[in-house]
Amino acid sequence: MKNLINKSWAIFLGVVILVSCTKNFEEINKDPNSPSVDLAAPDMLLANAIETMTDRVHETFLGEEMGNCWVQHEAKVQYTDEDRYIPRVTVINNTWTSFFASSGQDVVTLYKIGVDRDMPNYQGVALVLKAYISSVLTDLFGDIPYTEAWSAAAEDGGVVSPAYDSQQEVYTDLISILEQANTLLDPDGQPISGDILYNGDILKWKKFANSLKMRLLIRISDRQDPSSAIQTMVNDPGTYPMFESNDDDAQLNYLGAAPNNNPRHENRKTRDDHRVSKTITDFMWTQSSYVDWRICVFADLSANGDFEGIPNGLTSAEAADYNGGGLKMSKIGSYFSQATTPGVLMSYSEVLFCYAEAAFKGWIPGGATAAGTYYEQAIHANYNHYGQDLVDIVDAYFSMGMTADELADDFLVNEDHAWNDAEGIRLIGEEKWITLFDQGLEAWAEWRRLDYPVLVPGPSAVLSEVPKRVYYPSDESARNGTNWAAAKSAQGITSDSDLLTKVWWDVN
Amino acid sequence: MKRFLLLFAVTGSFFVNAVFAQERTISGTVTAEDNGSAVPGVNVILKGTTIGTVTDIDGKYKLAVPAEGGTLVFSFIGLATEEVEIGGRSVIDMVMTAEIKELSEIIVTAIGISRDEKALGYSIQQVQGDEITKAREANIVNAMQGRIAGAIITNTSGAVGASSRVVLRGANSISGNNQPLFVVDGIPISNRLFGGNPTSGDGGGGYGDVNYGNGAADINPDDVESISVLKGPNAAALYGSRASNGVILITTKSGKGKKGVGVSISNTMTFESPLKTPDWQNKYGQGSGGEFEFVDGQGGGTNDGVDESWGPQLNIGLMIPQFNSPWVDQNDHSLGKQPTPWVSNPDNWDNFYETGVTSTTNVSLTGGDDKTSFRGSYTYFDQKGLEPNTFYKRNNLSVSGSSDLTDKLNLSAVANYVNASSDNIPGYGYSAQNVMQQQTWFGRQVDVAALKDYTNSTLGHPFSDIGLIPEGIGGTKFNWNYNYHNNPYFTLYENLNTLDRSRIFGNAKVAYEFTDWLSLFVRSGLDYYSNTNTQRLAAGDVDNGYGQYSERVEIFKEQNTDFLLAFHKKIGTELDLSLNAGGNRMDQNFQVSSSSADELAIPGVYTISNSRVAIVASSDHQTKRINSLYFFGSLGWNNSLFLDFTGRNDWSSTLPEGENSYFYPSVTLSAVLTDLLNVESDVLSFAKVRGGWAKVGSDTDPYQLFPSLSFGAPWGTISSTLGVPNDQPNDQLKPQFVTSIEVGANLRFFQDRITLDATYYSGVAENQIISVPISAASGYTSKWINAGEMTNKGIEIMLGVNPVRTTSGFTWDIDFNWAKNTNKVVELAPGIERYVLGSYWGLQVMAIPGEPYGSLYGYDFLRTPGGEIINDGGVPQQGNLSILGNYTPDWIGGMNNRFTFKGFDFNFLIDMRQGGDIYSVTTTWGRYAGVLEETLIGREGGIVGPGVKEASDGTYVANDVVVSAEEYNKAAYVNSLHYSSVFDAGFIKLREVKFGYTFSKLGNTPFRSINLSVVGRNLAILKSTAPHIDPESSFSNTNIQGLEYGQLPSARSIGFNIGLTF
Repeated sequence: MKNLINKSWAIFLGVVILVSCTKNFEEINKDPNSPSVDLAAPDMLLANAIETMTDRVHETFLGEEMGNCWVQHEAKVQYTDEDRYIPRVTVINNTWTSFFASSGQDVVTLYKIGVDRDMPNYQGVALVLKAYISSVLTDLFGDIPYTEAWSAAAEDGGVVSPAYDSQQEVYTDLISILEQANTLLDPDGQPISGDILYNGDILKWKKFANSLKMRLLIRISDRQDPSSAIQTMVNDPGTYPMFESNDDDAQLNYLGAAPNNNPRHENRKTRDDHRVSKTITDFMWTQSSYVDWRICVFADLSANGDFEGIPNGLTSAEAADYNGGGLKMSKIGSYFSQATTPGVLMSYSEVLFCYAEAAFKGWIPGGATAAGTYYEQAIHANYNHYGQDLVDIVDAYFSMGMTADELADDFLVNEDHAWNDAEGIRLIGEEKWITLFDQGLEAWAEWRRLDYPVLVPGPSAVLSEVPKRVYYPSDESARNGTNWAAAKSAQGITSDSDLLTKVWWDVN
Repeated sequence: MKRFLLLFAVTGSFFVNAVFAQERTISGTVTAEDNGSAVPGVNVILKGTTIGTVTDIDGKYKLAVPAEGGTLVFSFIGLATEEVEIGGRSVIDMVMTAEIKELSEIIVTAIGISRDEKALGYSIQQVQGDEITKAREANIVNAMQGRIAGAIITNTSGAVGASSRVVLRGANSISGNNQPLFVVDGIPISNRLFGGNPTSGDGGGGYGDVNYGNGAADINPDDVESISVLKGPNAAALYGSRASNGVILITTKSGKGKKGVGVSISNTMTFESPLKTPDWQNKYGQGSGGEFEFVDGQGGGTNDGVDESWGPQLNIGLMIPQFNSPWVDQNDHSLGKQPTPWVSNPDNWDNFYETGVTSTTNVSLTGGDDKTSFRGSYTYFDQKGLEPNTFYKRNNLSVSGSSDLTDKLNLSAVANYVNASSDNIPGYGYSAQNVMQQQTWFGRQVDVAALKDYTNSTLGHPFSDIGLIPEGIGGTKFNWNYNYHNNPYFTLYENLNTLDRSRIFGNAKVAYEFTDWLSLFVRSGLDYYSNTNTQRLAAGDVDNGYGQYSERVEIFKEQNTDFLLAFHKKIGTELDLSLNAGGNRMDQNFQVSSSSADELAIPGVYTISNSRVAIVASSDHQTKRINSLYFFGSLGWNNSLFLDFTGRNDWSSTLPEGENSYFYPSVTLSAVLTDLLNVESDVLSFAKVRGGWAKVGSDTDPYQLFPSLSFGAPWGTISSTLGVPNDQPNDQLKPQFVTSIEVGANLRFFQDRITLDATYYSGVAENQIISVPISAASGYTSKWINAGEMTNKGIEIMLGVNPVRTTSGFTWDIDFNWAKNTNKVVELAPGIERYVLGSYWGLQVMAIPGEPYGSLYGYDFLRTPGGEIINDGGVPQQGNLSILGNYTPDWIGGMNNRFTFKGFDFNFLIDMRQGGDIYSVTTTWGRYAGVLEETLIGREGGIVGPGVKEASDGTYVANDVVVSAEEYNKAAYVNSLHYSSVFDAGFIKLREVKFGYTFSKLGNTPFRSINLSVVGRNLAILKSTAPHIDPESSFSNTNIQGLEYGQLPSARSIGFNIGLTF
C-alpha cells in the first residue's frame, strides 16, 4: 500500500513537471474577442470611420460650441465659457485623438486593406476621408503631424512621436491624394459596401473627391494660385466630376435612435445651453432690409414669438439676464435637432460658391457676371437644401405659398444681398457664411479666409478678436513634446493656450 | 449541545486501547484553570505506553494502570501538557492551564508555512482576526487601516459596498496593478473591481458610475484567524508574478486546537452618519445675478433653469414663486406658481441623509480531537446606507475540516460560499445619476424633504408639460429643476443599480508524511464568482426620458493546483536544514457579457427585450495560464543564524514565445545577536538583525501581443462595425522585474516591555510592461512597451511599548507604526515626458520623471514672473500647465492604545497621513455654483481678487477692480483652472475606539465567555485642511487617485458588539 502511494506521487509529480512547459500558450493567448486585420471586413471599417468622423465634426463641444459659436451662428446661454473663447482642454484633446487615432487610423487601415486585397474603390474612398479628416485638423491647428502620422505599426516605421509638417506641406499632399483618389475610384469597378454616406455610389465619391479638392485649393488661394489646378478640373468634367445637385451632397443621414442619431439631438436630450446668435438674427431678420427666409429654419420662435438671438460671449449671468431672460431667446431651429438631421460634410451650394469665387477672381473664365450667376445658384441650392421643410415653416408663419426657389428669388431681390460686382467678395463671404450654417468648422475656416461678415467678440469674451486657431492639445505636450515645441516655434506661437496666431493659409 | 459533546467524547475513545491486564484504576476530573469548567477530550496517557483514555463530557476519566509506579500525561492542544506521578493515589484531579505563549511569535508566511518570527529575514506584520471583528468594517481592507506600517489604505466613499485600495511600500507599476495579491488559505483570490472595465479590470471614471466594490471585500472578517502582510518582494517572492506588490495572506479559522465542540455567536450592530459634509451658505437662494422666479424650472421663468445659488437673498421677507409653491391655476400651468416665502433651509442636505444601520451576525461551530477537526461558520451582514433606499447584504458560509486518515496522511479542505447582493447601490461622480452631485448644483433654499413625493401630482408637472420627455409616456415629475437634475428621491427609488454575486473559493489538500523529515502535499484551489449588475433608468429620467435598462454579467474563475515536497532535518545538534520544491499551475478565465435596452418600449418593465431601439450587446473573454516551478529553503544554525533562499520560474501565456519563461531568486540572512553573543541583559532582552535581496518577475494581461480590430456600435441595418483600437500591441514584450533589498532589526528591551521593529528597504521596478501614451497622431493613443523605471525607498518602524503593567492586572500597551516611502518615477519611455494615469475635468493624474508617482498636473492661474496672479477685468486667467500636487502621502502612521484590566479592554486607534494632495471638484463646482459658505464673501460689496493687473504701460500693479462674487467665483473656480481646487489631503483621524468587557468565570451557565463592547469607527477627523470633504476619498481603487467629486461622505460608525462563546 505504502509503495503504491509513493508510486502515485512520483507519477503525479512527473505529470505536473511535464505540463509546466508552454504547450498551448499561443492558443491560450489568441484574442477570441476581435478579428485580426487579415480577417477584418472593410465595409464594417468604412461604416465606422464615416460615422466617427461626421459625429466629431458635428459634435456639440467642437462643431457647435467652437465652430458654430465662434463663427456666431449660435451662442451659448448657459455655461458660456466656450463662447467666451475659453475652450475645454479635454475637448481639444478629444478632437485630436478622435480625428487622428479613431477615424484617421480607421481610414488608413481601410486603405491598406484596399491595397492588400486589391480593392481600388475602398482605397479611393479611404483617401477622400483621409483628406477630409486631415484638412479639418490642419485648419484647426495649423501645422500637424502628417508625413510621419499613422506610422506606429512596426511595418510602417514604428513612429510614436511623429514630427509635424507645415500646413503648406499638408495641403500639397492632401490635394495630391485627392487626385489619386479620383483616379482610383471607378464606378464600373468592384463595388463597395458599408458606405453609409453614398450607399456605394462611386460616382458620387468621385464628385466628393474633386469638390473637396476645389475647397482645399481655394482655401490656400491666398498663398498659392489655384487657377491651373481648378481649370484642369473644370475643363474636364468627365475626368473630374463635381457636385451637380443637392443629391450629390456629402452628408450623413442620421438614423432615428441613439447611437445613430444626430449629435445635437443627443445633446438636447439633456442640455439646453444654446440659442441662435444675435449676429445671425440681426443679419437675416432684425436689421436686414429684407428677410432671408432661411431664418425660419435656422431659428425657432422665441418666447416672445419672434426670431431673437442672443449676443455671443456673455457670461452665464449676463446671458441669463439678457433681454428679460436669455433662455427665452430663439433656440436653434428644431429642423437641426431632429434625430435624423443630416450631418453635412460638404454641399452642392458650397461648390457653387467656389465657382463664384473662382470666376470672380479670374481662376476660371466668366468674370464677375459668371460669378453672379453662380452666387445666385448657390443661394438657390441652399434654399432647396432645406426644401419642403423651409416651405412648410415659412407658410406656417407667413403664409407665403411659395416654393423654395421662389423664396430664394424673393430673397435675392434684396439690395443688400443681390449680386453686385463691386461687392463680390463681401457678398460671397456673407452668403457662404449663411449657407454653411451648422457646418461650424468649415464656416469658421472660410470666415478666417474671407473675413466676411465682420465678426466682433462678445462683450465678456476673454479675447479681443475672434479666435484664429485652436491651441495644441495638452496631450501632445506630454506625449510628443519635442515636436510639439518645434511646431509652435515654427509658427511663432509662444503661449500654450494661443488662439490668435493665424494658420498659414490665413493671410489677412 | 450535550449531545454534540458526547458524540465527540465517544469518537475520541475510539482510539483508545482499553483492554489489558487490569491492576488498578485511576480516576479523576480535569478542569480548566481559567474558569473552572470541566474539560472534555483531554488525552490521559500512561507515560511510555500506549495505555490511555480521554476525558468524557464532564471532564472525568477512568484509566486502568499497572499496580506499581507510572506517570500520567494530560495533554490537549492549546493547553499546557501536565505530567503527574501516580504514586499511591487512585484519584487524580487535574487543573489545566492555557499553554504559555512563546515570546517569539509564530507567523504564517508564504505558501502558508508557519514559522517562528525569530527565523525570518524580512519584515512581516500580522493582524489577529479578533482585532477586526468587533469594530467591524464592511470591507476587510479598511480594517487594516492604521495597523500596518506602510500600508496606504483608501476607502473610496461612504456608499454601501464601496471599494477600498491598499498599497504596500508605494507603487511599483506605472500603468499596472499596484495592489498586493490576496491569498486565502494558500490560494490567491481575485481583488478585481466588480463591474469595472473588462479589459483592464478597473473602472473609476469620475463622470458617473457605480462603485460595486472590490474582490477582497467578500472575505468575511469572522472567518479570519489572522492576516499576515508580506510587504515586500523578499517576503512574497514565492507567490510569483502577482506578488511584486506584496501579499496579504489570510488564514481562516479552523477547528484545530479547539477542545471539543465550541459554539460562538456574535452580533455587531453599528449606526452610521456622515463624517464630514460641506459647509453650505444659507443666505442666498437659487438663481443668477440675484434674480430668480420659478415658472417651469427649465428656463421659462427668471433664471429658473439655473441650478446655482446666485439668486436673491433669503430670509428678508421676499415672496417668490418656487418649485413647491401652489400653481396660480391648477388647470393652467403656463401661469406658473404663486409667490411663497423665500427662506433658507440650512439642514436640507443633513436631513436628506438617513442613519445607516449595519448589522453582522455570526454563528460558528468548531469541533475536533487530535485527529480530526472541523469548523462551520455562517455570517449575515446587512447594511442600510446613508442615502435613502441603498442597501448591501452579504451571506458568508464557510466550512473547513481536516482529518488525519492515517498517521501519515492528512486530508483537509476549506470551502467558502459568498452571496453578496444589493437592491440599490448609489451612483457617484459627475452625473445626474449621482444624487450627491446636486449638493453642489443646488438651490440653497430648496427644501429637500418636499421632494420626497417625487410624483407629486398636485405641485409637479405632467410629463407633457416638459418638452424633453418623449411624447406618449404618462406620468408626473416633481423637482426643483427640470433641466439638469432628477428629483433625488426619484433617482434613489426608481433608478436602481443592483448587484448579485455568488462566489465560491476554497481548496482541498492532501498531505503525506513519508517520514518525519520528508513530506508532500498536493492542493487544488478555486476562486469562482458570477457577478450580475443591472442598472435601470425610469421613464422621465433627465438623461433618458424613455428610460433604460442594462445588464452586465461577469464570470471569473481561477484555478490553482500546486504541490510541494518538503524536506526538513536537523543535522547534528547545530544545523537545521529545510529544503522545499514545488510547482503551480494557474488558469484564469474572465468573461463579461453586457447588454442594454437604451430606450424602453414600455415604461416600468425592466428587461432587455423591452427595447424600442436596437439592443446593444457585447461580450469579452480572457484566458491566461501561468505554470511555475519553485524551490525554497532555510539553513538554521543554533537557532540563531538563519539563511533563507527562494527561486521560482514562471511560464506565462501572455508573453511572446522566447520571452515567456523567467526565473527570479531571493535570499535573506538573519542573526539573533542576543543568542549568538550570549547577551543576558535586563535592558536588551532580544536583538536580531536581518537583510535580504529579492527579485520578482511578472507578466502582463492577455492579448497584448498582436493587432486586431474591435467591434463598434451598429449603424442601422449594419449590425456591427469595426474600428482600430487605440492601444497598439507589441509582440516584442519581455517580462518585467522588481528588485529589492531590505535590512532591518528587531529589538526588545526591559523584558520585552519595549519592542522595536525597524526596516529599511529599497526597490526598483524596471523595464515595466506599460501601455505608454503616444501621440494620437501616430494613429494610436498608447502602445505596449517595456520601459520605465520606478524606485521606492522607505523606512518602516513598529514600536510597541508597555508603559504600565501592574500586579493587579492592569496593562497599557501602545503600538506605534510609522512608515515613510519615497517613491520616484525615474524614467518613462524614450520620448515620453509624462504619463497620464487618468484625468478629471482636464486635471491629469500623471507619472512624471523625477517626481513621485501620482502627480496632479493641471492649469495654474496666469502669473507674473514673480508668481502673482494676473487679473484681467478683475478676474484671474488661465495660465500654464504645472504640477499642482501629488496624491502620494509623505508618510503615514498609526497609534493604537490598549488598556486592559481584568475583563475590561479599552482601545483607541489614531491614524495619520502626512502630505499628499487631492483635487476636489466639490470646491470647484461648489464655488462656481455659489453654494459653499465662502461664496458669501463679497456678495454685497463685490470682490477685489488677490494679485495684480496689467497697467496701461505694461507693468503690473495691484488689482483694484471690483467684480461681483458670482463673476469672481465663476472665473477663479472654473473647471479649466485646477490650481484653486487642489488641497493637502493629510489628516489625523480617530479611526477606532473599542470598549469591552469579557465575562469569563460564568460558573454553571452554558457560556464559556460573554463579551460586550461598544465600538466606533471613523469617529473624528482630528486634523485636515481640505475644505468640505474627507480628504481620504477617491472614485475607485485604481491608480487614478487624488480626485474627488460628489462622493457620498465617509461614514462615522458607532455601535455595539456582543459575543457569546459556549
